[in-house]
Amino acid sequence: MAIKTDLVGYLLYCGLAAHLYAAAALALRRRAFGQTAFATGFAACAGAFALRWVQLGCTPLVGMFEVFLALGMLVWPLSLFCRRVLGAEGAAAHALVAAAVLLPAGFVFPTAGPQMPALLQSAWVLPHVGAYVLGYTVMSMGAVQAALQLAAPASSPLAAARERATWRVVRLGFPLLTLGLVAGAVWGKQAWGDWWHFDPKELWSGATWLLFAAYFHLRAALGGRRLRVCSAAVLAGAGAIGMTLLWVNLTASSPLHAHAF
Amino acid sequence: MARLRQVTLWAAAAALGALAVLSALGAHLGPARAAGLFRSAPMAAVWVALAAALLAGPILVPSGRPIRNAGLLAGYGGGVLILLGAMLGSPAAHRLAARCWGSQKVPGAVMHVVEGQPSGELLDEQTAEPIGALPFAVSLERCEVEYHGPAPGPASQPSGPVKDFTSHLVVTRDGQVLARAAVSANRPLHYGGYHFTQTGCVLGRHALVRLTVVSDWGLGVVYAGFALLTAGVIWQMWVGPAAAHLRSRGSHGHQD
Repeated sequence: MAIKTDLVGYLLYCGLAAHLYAAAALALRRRAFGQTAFATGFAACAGAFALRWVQLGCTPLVGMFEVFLALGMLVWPLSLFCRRVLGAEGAAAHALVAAAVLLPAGFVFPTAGPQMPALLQSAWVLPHVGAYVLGYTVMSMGAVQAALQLAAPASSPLAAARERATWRVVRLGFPLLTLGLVAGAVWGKQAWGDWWHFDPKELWSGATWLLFAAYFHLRAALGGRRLRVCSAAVLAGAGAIGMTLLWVNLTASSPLHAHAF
Repeated sequence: MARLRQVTLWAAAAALGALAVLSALGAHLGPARAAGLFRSAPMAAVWVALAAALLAGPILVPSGRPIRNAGLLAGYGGGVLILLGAMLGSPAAHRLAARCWGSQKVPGAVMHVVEGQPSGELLDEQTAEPIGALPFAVSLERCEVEYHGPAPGPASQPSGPVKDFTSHLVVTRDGQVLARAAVSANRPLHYGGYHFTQTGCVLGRHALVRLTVVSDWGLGVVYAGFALLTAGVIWQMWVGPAAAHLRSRGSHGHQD
């Protein structure tokens, strides 16, 4: 258990509490309270993120703590965009996702030391990790929307509308996954000598990208039929993200990415 | 045509899903066994079939204005280039080149370069056995270490963990200096058709630097594929829909 007792930690714990409160309030349809708490959670996490940036003197995306803090921080603004522009739903679930990623940041992962390893002192940290952090956050909303689609009565207008919203959200996130994968390959060439090493993290990232690419082709092939199959494909992609983000790092099975987190 | 498009879409979805499953399986095999799996002869046939399927991508493209098709074409074209570049840089391509025209180029190796001792010997990455030689020699002039601790002065010792280390390399042939370069983390040397990446440094009376040596065959094609794929995906997923949305708002209609 890695409890943080500095200002960054206190801000993170405030953000975590605010997101939990927001999830509960929104689930109980107390929209005003819920939205205010949601925004407050974002502000607290953004403060923690900014403070970490100042402390490290570089983009704070090189440790599991910082990455999960960034994931939690980005949920509110992306949730706002997905709900208002793309027609997504599930604000309560989004707040719960934010709380879920802030929990390990607050209690499991230690903060990265200020002395960055040489390999991580690269301009590619921001495009590679940043694109993935944004992409994973968006895809988590796609997964929420896909789950809502599965919960809707089959063949109903609601199911069709929710499936279209799922497609729009996944369409937003897929280029971010592409950017993250390509930036990682280019950085890998510079850092390790080759653009692909069959490293477990690379392979799971590749599997995630391929699953979402398969989703788009499957959806086009189905032509508006069997919407639940499409939603299941999105959930499979989200599962692959979970494996890439958590399992590979927690089991230390990625020799090349071990120092990164 | 519509039937052919439908069949191709299904085949593409199935192929992409199967590749995803293979990737997940490869992740559990470990890097060496995964590399063996994806570079095996049966997989070579899969890659060629995939490249052919991507080249047939235009039949997936919906009819309409060409600008709508640009993203898909770029995406599929990028995929073809990435596969082609990977094939060109593969160990199989290097073996074929050696058999066909006697190429001595090695796809990948490591070098151990001792300070002041020029070396062109290439070693196997796994066994450290000699597997070839460069047409030139690489020597280490000096190795500089930068620490996170306070800056060393004339009466003090460097302290703290290593921030970075830089190897000053010299490329020579027959005693003539061909190139000089400072190689450090994220800054490899590109010379003579190879990339030399510093992967280790041992300080002592005579410093030793470990270099990963990788052939540059196909890399330009892969990078072109990356650029095309990324541009195509962004166009297809972001730019095209945003432009369509703005057009529909401009014509006072709403379409999804």
